[in-house]
Amino acid sequence: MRIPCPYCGARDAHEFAYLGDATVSRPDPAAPDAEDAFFTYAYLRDNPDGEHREYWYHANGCRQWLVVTRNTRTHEILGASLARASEVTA
Amino acid sequence: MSDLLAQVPVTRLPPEGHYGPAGTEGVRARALEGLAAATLAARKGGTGALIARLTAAGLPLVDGPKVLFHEGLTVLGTGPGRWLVFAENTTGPALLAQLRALAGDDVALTDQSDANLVFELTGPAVRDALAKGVALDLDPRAFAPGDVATTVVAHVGVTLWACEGAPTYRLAVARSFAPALLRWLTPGAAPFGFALSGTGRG
Repeated sequence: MRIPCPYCGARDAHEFAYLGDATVSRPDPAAPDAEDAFFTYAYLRDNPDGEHREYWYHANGCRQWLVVTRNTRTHEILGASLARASEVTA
Repeated sequence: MSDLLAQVPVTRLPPEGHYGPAGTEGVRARALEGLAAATLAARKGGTGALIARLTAAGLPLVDGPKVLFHEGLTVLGTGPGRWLVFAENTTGPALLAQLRALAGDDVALTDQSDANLVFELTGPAVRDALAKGVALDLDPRAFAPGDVATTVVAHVGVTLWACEGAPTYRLAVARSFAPALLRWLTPGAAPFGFALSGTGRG
């Protein structure tokens, strides 16, 4: 599996460390339902069939967090962007 | 497996000399001692301003995996807004002062002179030897002089860049990992005839 790092170019997956779901975002700790929201945020994950956005860290390359879109059924990589940039545009 | 290094302690660099068939020299490696090095990193959101400032000072930085040679400096792109700089015939503190004068106060500069060991690799079979562990296309059409790659070789992180001239590469490795890296390279390059220099008696 090769991941197209926006900085380094296409690299083998063994250069990366996998974190997981990039679709969840940290809840507001001051919200009245913060306890439930944090439980969901920390522990509950969907197990999607098909396209999924997930965090990969390019540990043995540019040392950046990426958001990679991967098809969980075929392992086809449909795209990758820097997580820091995507935080701005998300 | 090769027993070329059977007598060499695993924690020491292999001694300089010729490995493999006599009379052949497909790969040459030379350890470059005494280079000064520093990392140069933009502050958050400051990459554009840093590039503009250094470009105006005559150092046209590129925010990408490219190498720039400028007045004795080798500037390697290692990540967004981050560069690794090597310089010959100077010291770490002098290099920091030179970069500080160029880049101004609003950048992170760190002396890395002790951190890395740099090898120059050349010879007609250098790509064949590197192909045994570098999972990159090193054909000049894909990795031309001026290109840089930070990658992993035999589980050891390296920064590799292509230099001008018949295939020549330089490779920076964390100094304490250099013996392990050379224990990968030496048996891999020996079948082509491998001349290693700069490592002394190991």
